[in-house]
Amino acid sequence: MRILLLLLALSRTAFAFTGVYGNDTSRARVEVADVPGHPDLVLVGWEDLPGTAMPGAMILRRDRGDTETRYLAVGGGGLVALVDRGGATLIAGTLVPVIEAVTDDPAHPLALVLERGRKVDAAALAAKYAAFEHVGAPGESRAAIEAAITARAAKANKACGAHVAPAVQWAEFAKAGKLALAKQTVAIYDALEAACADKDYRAAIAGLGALRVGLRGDGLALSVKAGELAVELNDAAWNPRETAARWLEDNL
Amino acid sequence: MKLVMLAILLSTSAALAADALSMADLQALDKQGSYGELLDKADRVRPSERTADWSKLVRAAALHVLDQIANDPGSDLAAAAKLVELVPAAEHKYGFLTGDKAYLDGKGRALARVVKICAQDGGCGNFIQYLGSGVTRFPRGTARQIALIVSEDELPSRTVHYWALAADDDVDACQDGRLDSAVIYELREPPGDKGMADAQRAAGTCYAALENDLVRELSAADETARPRPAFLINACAVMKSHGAMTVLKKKKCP
Repeated sequence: MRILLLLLALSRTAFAFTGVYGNDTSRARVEVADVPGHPDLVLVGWEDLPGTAMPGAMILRRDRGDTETRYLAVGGGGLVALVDRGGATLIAGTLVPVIEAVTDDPAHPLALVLERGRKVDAAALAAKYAAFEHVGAPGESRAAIEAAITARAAKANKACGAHVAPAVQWAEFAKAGKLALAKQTVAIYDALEAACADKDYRAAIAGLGALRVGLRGDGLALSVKAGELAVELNDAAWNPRETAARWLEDNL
Repeated sequence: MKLVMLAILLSTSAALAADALSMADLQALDKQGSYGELLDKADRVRPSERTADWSKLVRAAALHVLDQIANDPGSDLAAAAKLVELVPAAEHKYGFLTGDKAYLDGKGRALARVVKICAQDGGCGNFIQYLGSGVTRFPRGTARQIALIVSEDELPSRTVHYWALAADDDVDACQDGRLDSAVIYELREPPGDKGMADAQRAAGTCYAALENDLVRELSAADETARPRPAFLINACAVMKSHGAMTVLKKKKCP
C-alpha cells in the first residue's frame, strides 16, 4: 500500500500535461500542446465537448494553486477550462493521468483520461487555432484578407444595425510582414455581433463609427476613442474573439 | 461579615481620599512641565471635579508627551518604548483622547519613529495596527510605510485605512498591487464595515489604476442575487461617479 502511495505521489510530478485526452463514455477529445516561448501557456484544441457548440482551439494560461493547476483562457471568456488535480487512473496496470474539462457547468466537469500512445499533431492543432481565431494562412494575400474582413463587417453591421467601418492599418502589418494577423479583425466583428444580442450593447455599438486595427503592443488591447473602437493586434493577441467579447461587455 | 465588608469599604475610600489630587495639583504639574506625571495621575482627580479644564489639561499633557517622543533626539527604539508605555494606558484611562484630532495627529507624528524601526526589522504589523488606531494623519510617506508593514501581517481588508492615507499622500501608491487588493477585499465586506469609507475614498483616488479590477469584479457580481451583493452596494457608489458610464455600470449600478 505504501509503495502504491509513493508511486502515486511521484507520478503527480512526473506527468507531462501535454497530450491527447479522451473520455470512454463520449466522443469528447481534448488535445494539449505547449506554446513555444511561453512556458505558462498551452494550446488546447477540443471536439465533441459537451457544452461547446463547435470544435475549436484556444490559448490557456496555467494558474498553479495549492492543490490543483487550472488552465484558463487568456483574456477571459474562455469556452473551455482545464483542471489538473494530479489525478490518475489505473489502466492495464499503468497509472494514467486524468484531467477535468469545464465548459458550461463548473459543477459538472468532464473527466478526461490521457490516451497513451497518441501524440499531438502540433502543426494541425496550430492550424485549428488559426482557423478558429481567424489568423490568416501563411501567404494569404492582403486582398483575400481584406475581402474576408469586409464581408464579416457587412454581416455584423447588418445584424447590429450599425456602421462600424473596418479601418485596418495595412501599412503597419505589411511593414512587419504580419498580414496574417490583420485577419483577426474578423474575430473582433464576431465579438461585436455577439454583443449586439443585448439591446443595450447594440445601442452602444450603433454609436461606433469605425473599427481601427493596428499592429503594436504586447497582447490584445482595446479602447474606445472619439467614437471609434481601437484594437491593437500582435503576436501575443491570443483568443481575440473571446477577449474582445469580454472587453466589450465590461467596457462599452 | 457585613462589618468586615464595611470596614474594607471604608478603608478603601479613605485610601482613595488620601491619594486624590485636586485641579490645583494638576495645574502645578502642568506649570512644571511634568506632563508624563500629569497624565499618569490625572485620573486621581475626583470624578465630580473633572471639568472641561481637567480635560483640557489632560489633552495638552498627552500632546506634549507625544511631541516629546516625536522630537526626542534619543534612539527610535527608546521612542518606541515610551510610546508603548503611554498610548494604551492613556487611551484606556482617558477615552475621550481617541476622538481628539490634535491627540491623534500627535500620535501619528510619534508613530512615525516606530515605523522606521519596523520598516527595518519587520514583524510588528499587528503592533503598529494597534498603536495607529484612529490616526488619520501621518507625516508624509509614513502611511505608505505602515501600509507595507501591516500588509505583511494582516488581511488585505485590514490594511485599507493606511493604503487610503498613502494614496492621499501620493497617488504613486495607487500602483501598488497591495493597495488594489486591500480596496477590492474591503469593498466585498458588508456596507458600513469599519474600513468602507477608506476603501471607497481610495477607489476614487486611484480609480484609473484600479479600474480594470473594479470592472472585473463588477462584471462577476450577480445583480439579481438577493440580498444584493455587498460589492455592488459599496463599489457602485464610486464607479458611477468615476470613468465612463458604460453599459455594464448601467446594468449593475442602476
